[in-house]
Amino acid sequence: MVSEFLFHEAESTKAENTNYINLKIEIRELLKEPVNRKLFSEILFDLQKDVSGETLNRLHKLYVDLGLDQDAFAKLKSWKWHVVSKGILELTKMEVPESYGVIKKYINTKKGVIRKQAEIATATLKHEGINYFLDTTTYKISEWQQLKLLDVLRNFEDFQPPRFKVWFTSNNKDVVLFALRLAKYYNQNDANTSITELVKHRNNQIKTEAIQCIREFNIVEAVEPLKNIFWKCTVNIKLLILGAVASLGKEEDVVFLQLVANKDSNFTVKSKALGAINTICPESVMPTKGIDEKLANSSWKEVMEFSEEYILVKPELIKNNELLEEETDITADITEASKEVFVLPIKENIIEDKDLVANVNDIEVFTEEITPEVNEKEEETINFSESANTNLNFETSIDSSPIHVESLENTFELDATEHSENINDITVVFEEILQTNTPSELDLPIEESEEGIDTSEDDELEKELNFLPIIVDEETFSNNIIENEPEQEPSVIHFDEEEILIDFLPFIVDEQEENVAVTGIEVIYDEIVADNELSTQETVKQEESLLISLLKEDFDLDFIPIIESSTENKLIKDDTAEVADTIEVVEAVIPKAMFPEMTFEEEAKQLLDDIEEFGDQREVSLLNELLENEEYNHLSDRIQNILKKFNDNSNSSVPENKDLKHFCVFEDLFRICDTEAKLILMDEIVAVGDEKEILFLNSLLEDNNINISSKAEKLLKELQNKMMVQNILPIKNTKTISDEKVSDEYSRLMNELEIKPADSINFFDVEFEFSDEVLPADESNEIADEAEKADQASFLSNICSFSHKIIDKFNG
Amino acid sequence: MLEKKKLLLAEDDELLASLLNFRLQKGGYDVTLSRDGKEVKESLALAIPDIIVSDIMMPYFSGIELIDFIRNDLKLNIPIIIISSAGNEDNVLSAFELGANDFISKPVNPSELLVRVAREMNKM
Repeated sequence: MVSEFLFHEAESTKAENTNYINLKIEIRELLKEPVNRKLFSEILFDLQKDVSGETLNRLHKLYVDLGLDQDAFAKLKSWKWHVVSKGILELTKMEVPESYGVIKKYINTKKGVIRKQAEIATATLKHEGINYFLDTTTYKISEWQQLKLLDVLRNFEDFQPPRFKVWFTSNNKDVVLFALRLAKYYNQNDANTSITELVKHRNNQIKTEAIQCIREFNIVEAVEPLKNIFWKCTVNIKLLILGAVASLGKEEDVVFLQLVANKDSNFTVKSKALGAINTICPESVMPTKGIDEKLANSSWKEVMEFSEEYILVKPELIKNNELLEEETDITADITEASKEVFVLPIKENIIEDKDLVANVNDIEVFTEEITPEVNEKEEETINFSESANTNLNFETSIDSSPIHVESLENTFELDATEHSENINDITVVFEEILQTNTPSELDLPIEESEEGIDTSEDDELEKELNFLPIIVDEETFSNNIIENEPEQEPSVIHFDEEEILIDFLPFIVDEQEENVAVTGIEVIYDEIVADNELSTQETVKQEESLLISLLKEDFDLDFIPIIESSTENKLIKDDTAEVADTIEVVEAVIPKAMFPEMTFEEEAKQLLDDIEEFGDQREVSLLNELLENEEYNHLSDRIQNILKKFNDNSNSSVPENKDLKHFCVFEDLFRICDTEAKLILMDEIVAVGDEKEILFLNSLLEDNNINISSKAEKLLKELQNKMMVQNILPIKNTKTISDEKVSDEYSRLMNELEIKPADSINFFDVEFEFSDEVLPADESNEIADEAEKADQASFLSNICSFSHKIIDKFNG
Repeated sequence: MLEKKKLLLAEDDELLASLLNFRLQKGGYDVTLSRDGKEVKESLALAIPDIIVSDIMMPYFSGIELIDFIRNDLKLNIPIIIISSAGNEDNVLSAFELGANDFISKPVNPSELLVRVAREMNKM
């Protein structure tokens, strides 16, 4: 259908015309439905991307003819930004010229998407749209937007660009920048002065663009202003300026560039300046850093100075790698082809014929070190000593070039076979490293060495390899270890016969043996017994008693280290046995701690010390008991002193009533604050304070500051009144301060006016029961009225009488 | 009655294909429409057209591969016109190297295409 419309020609046949008209009618019927309209416009919108030329124009015309542009116009009126944006896009793509007037109003809209769409549309729909846009836009023009606009302008057919210099004076810096770029693109070089002036703009982008325009348009007059602004610019701008000076500058500008190269701190700028100098005056600046003076002064002709004569060596003189001394006729061995003349310079690489070595085997390695003394100025020669067994004696200079020898193919004939035989004759020694030093206990068998291996150096090797670990079979090792293990000492501690006094270690004494001299003290202690199934306390005790008895006979020890030597021996033996042997369970008992014996007196002293330091009145009863049972006078005196001390403390510090001292918040703050702050705090006391503050205010009455004392007196009265009121009228805690004030005033008024407050009416305590009787309407109404009246009497009567009472009061 | 020239149109864009199909048919060609490279091969198996107009970017087989197939495998010398999109200059060069006769860039001007087809047909 679309194709029919697009490719219909006026010159078509009658049938085709009829068909075309029918299609038109049909399509108008279809387009009455919005879905079809939307579909059709989508189809046209997709097609317009793929076609061009006359077909595209027809497509646009069809779009308008079918009234589909009205839908797009309707979208412009929407309050949704994406709908508006889509409408603008459709009208732009379909190139509806009538939409220009509507769309250009959106150029300065707040919504960015709509604004950008409108900018493109304005530039697209009409050629002069770009003018309007640059004139009216007040918003920023992004780089991308500028590119898109430029792309639109580029694709215009027969586009006559305006003079963009008009916008160089715009207030919008993006407009100035875009105008510069358009001027550069369209090569509008009739605004040189303006462009030169724009170099002084604050915006770096505009500066950059202006400098590029200057360079593009070859504005030579701008070089001087560029030099003037150079020192105040950023590095990038400086580089651009230097580039412009390089392309536009003359020799007079070299001075400036040299100044820049010397003065500027940035290396890039310096090097750019030098490059600019070289551009203006080529090769005026040469590299100097890192230049080797020797190489700078060297010449290839120096080599030629030493070689004045040349010798000619005839191949005939060389036979079997030996240079013949005499010139003899040699015709048998030398072929005609080898009749070449060889040129060797003298002095540099003179190789005497006699010295040429025919056989490679005769060449011996030169082992002497060569240490030439290098002197830059003088030439030195290296002399090989005769003891080096070399037959090569020649003099060379260090600075000389390498020896150049022509190919001597037919002079030396090396016999390879001889060399191979000699190589085979070289004896090779194979050595095997063996360990001979094995531990005596292990007695490992040593494998016999192979025949032909010399083991005379084994001893030395062993010494060197003693650090290596020895790897031995497990079987031999395990068997040997058991046999060779040294006997372990028993763990029984044997004491000497000398008496040893060790009284610093604790000892544990059985309960039975304990004789507690300090009576009245209940000291509780428990024995620690190991939780072992097979251990029995009886055996432990027996052993302990044995040990104790033994030791007490001979030694005066205060401790008995109970070590289960027998058990430990058993353990060791168990360990030594193999895993197959079961370990016998030993009675493992933790020895009891043993404390040194203290006399009663000492214990009592210690106890009294502790009580005096840590105790208080609660220990009085204990002290009384101790006093009753005390035998020593000094101890009883001490107990009495402690009691007295405790009693004195109790009387002075702790009041009989167990109430704690009242804590006043303001008291702590008053210590820190100054006078003004104190006065402000005092204002709050009445509002917040209670009984505690009364005491505090009482203390403030004696304050040195008159203001504080007077204010404290005043506030004290107020607070006391408040407390009185509170006591009279129970106020709930949930009430606020303002409520309290209101209630205070209310109560005062009530008191003054001698009005009794009405009893609180609890509206929710309504007791009623449904009765079977149905009261007549009149009676029920009467009852209701009476109830109302009763309520009103109590509440309203008070209010009503209130005014009367005030009047009476005034009237006396 | 002159026999209509057979034209094979290979274009995967349905809208453009139908538009070009209509225009070429109106221009007096017997157009066979193929949506992708596979259908082109099947069409070629059934009948050899007088001229081929093919898009470069297609599913299964691109226009370049088709040119290679027609020139090297089928050994046919029928004129081939390539429809290329913007930025596909490299493909156009490849197509010419393989043996394409002409190309037209998108957006396509149907009238221009008709002229190019007529020119190639006249060359034959």
